[in-house]
Amino acid sequence: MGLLTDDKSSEESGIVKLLRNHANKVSFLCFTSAIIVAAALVTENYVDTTYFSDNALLPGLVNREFTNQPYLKDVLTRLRKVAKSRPNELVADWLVNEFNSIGLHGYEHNFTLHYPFGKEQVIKGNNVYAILRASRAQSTEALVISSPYRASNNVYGQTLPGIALMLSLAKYFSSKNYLAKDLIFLVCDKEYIGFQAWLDAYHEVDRSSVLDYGYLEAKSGPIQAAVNLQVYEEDIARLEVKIEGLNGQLPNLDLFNVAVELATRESITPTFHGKSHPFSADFYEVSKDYALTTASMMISQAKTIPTGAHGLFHKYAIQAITLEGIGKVAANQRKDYLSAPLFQVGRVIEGIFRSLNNLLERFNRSYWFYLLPSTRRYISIGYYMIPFGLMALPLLFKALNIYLTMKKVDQDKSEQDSTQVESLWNALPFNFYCHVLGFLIASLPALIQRYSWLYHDYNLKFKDTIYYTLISTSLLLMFNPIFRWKQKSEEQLKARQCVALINLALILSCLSLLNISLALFLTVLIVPVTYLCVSISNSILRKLLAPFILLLHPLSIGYLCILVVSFLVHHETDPMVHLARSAESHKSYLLKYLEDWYIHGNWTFFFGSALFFPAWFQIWSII
Amino acid sequence: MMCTIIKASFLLAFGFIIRMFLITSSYQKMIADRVEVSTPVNSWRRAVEGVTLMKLNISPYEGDTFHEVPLFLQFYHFLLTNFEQWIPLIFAIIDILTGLCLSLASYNQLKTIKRWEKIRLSKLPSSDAKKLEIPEKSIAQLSFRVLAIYLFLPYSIMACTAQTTSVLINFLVSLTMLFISFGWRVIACSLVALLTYHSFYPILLIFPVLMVSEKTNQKGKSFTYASKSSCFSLISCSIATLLLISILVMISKSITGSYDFFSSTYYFLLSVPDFTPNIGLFWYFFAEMFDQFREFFLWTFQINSFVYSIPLSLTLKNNPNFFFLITLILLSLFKPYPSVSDLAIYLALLPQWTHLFTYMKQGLLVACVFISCSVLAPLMWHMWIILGTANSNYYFGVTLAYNVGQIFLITDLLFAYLKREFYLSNGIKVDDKDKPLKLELSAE
Repeated sequence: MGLLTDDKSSEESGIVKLLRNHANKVSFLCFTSAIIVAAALVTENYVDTTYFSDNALLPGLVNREFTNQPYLKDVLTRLRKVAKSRPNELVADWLVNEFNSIGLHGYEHNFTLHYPFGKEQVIKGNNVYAILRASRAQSTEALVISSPYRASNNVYGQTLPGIALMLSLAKYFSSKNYLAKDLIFLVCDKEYIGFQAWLDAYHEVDRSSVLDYGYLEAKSGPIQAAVNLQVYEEDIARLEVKIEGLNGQLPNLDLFNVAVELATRESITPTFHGKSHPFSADFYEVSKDYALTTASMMISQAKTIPTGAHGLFHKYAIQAITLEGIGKVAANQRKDYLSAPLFQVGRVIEGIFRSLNNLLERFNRSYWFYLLPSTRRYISIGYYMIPFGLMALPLLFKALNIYLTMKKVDQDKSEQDSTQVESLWNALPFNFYCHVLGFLIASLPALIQRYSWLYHDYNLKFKDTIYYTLISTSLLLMFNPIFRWKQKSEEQLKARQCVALINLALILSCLSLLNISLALFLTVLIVPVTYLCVSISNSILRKLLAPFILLLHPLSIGYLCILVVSFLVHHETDPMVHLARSAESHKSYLLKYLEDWYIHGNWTFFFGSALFFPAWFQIWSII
Repeated sequence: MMCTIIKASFLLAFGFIIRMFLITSSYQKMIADRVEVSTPVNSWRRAVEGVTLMKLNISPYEGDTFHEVPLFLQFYHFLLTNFEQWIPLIFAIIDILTGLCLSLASYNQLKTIKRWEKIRLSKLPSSDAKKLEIPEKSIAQLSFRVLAIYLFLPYSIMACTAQTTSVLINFLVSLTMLFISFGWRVIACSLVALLTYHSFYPILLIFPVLMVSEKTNQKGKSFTYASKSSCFSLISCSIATLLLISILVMISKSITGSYDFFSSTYYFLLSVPDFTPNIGLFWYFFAEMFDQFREFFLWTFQINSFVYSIPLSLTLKNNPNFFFLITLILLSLFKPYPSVSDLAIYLALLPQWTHLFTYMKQGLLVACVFISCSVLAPLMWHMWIILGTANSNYYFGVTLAYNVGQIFLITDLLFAYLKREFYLSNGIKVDDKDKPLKLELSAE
């Protein structure tokens, strides 16, 4: 009970003293050690080798038998032909017929998207799916093989080989008697929208006004796992495994491991972010490879946009990955380089599904939080939380430091009413107002859309309207004398700083649970500046920090990221062109995030406006 | 005075508007579905279900839907048949009234405490007395703050939006506080009887209520349990309350025709068969435990809820009003199915004890724990239930932290109170540097 009862503890214990007198040094130590730890984590010594956590998977235990070459070739030729004759539409009736001729029942699924922004716009589409009922169980669980439908004219490359492969796998599996889970074969129209509509319809979520998902004629049990195929060519140079989903959610690592393991066994190189597992013996080379792959994964996770249609499954607690079969030309490889024919990819998928077929229960280990330095190595949450924690701790240290000094001043004055600590309570309303403002900003898109005639009258597009509204709103708030901190008293400033720091720490740590990459990047950016801004007591010196804080505005972070990428891609172009081009693509990205929010439930815009912006705004208001 | 009334009515109107807005908005269902707000014993949906079953002549106590006592069921039946479209309004008004009652009660209580302490303060040196005394002019302000906090506390707003029956219970608790602060012992005791009849645990409130009334009878002088007259009045009051409870139970029996409702109400509370996650400690513990230990730990947990009242009734004899607050925190801590409305009522009452805050040590810690738990609980729930990436340990971690926060708060309040008591009886001791001496608990 010493912790609670000891009266001395708050006064004289070592930690309290340390925090009161040496908070800056301790924080600096934390931050630098965080960087060192982060660097150490991607070296061969500290990354862990991946392993199968769920023993029931038994990957590769059975002989994979899928060949079916004649049918595969035949169906691909016919599919190409029919797709060519009917471009710009999904050949639904043909696919249904094909499924029926295999012996499954094919179904069509119609959906309608009412585009939420701008002028009324309706997009219609139809998916095709077929269910292979398991012979050993009663449709209580299901697995999904899916593919987006892209006919030959699509810029992203056609996915017809993948669909043909899916058809021949359907034919193959329908002749086998070992399936204990239903297999659903799904071909989706209109990219992600089709997937979203199908998933919504499958789970019958609450109907929204944006996506009318129709209804499904036939269903199976809860979906355990899904593999999304994007096979572009008949000969595959490498198999890219994609995992990052919506909002940066990741599938269970076991599923990824199964895919990597089976691809390796079929002599197809599995890659992750374009890289296979490094074979070099050079410690430096390998570590560099790990670092680059991890960074690439973190960037793609922090973007919160799914890298493939598998990302939409995660929201429904379905473990899903995308297997992207990349041809020789796309992989930039020499002609004589080893490549695998399509049916070999089919064997990989056969293996994956026979493995998943063995699953006794859902993927249930705590295996959802990781970073991948290569296909065979991982960094688990227990490790990557250390650098994050060390980086976020300075915020709390400083907050405590401020609180303790305030208390100390109080005690020295030895007055009855503790004015200093009282002011901490008085600082809370401002924090509350900031978040209310943030919520209002988050509801701006809906508001603008409701009064859309206002901007239609001026011939403005929604994209521009929302962009400039956001900018002007935040400028209005930032330079509004009401919200500026007036030179009232030192203690109020301190109280506000303390509250702002705790608020920021709380938001970042919550984010770290959902999307560690985004949380880490934001922490790296905002913690040093915030810390400096709070530590400098001279108000004029503090003002010098204003430009840096301005750069950390959620919108400017986005803009800067786009600008940097633009410079890196075309480094010889004129800087002014870059600036203008980035602004244009910034607008498009904003729109994309908004669309994703309305259609798929991406929370990035909401997070940026209702949580991160208020936290940032509080820091801005105390400089 | 006029100004205060205008301010208060403005606050009341605003609190009312927020509640009405949320109840009629689309967020209502979202909030009502939260496990932190609606528990098996207070969910309005279950109450409606119970009434429907009753109308269909099916006993609502046979299944696992309804867990409230027959008289309350009759009351809900009355509400649902006669005022169905007015129910949101009724809930909002009751919640507003709760805030008003709490505020008035704490005003009265502070006045009484000040009167009681006058004698003790007069024995101290005037400088010490000035430091320790509750300033006269802050009393109105503090009780006003109680009102403001209750009206705008997200927890109470959420409980009201979800239309949980805890809104009614909180109203009854606040009425009890109000009547006992007026010294109307009969009404207060019957309210406690009603509360106990409803959910059993509020029987603990009988201790502070009787002590307050006893202390009021003694004109603020501290009383001893040894004196015959005190003993007699305490015992007779508690027997009267128990009698009243049994009368209520009898009436329920005559309404339903049997004692079957016991298994679905009191036994449901005491044996904790429902493991739906909530912010309490029971669900996880009993879900994880091997069955053979269940009874032992059930007894341990349940004894915990009741046992602290006895030592506390001895320690806090001088200030039974404070004991009332502590009992409310204890109830929220040890109930098997707690919800945020239990938290709301005592958080709103905290400003009344501002004079103790000076002696508290863990204020920032407790505040941070409460705030971060409120943010993390929905997040962990989302990760566990919706995304399927986390598991029950994550959510339990948050509820554990929340309960540790409550324990910190309760101990901190108690020690602050004891320190102030010490100063009140001995004066403020200072060392040679004119700093207050450190106080320590010791066994002697």
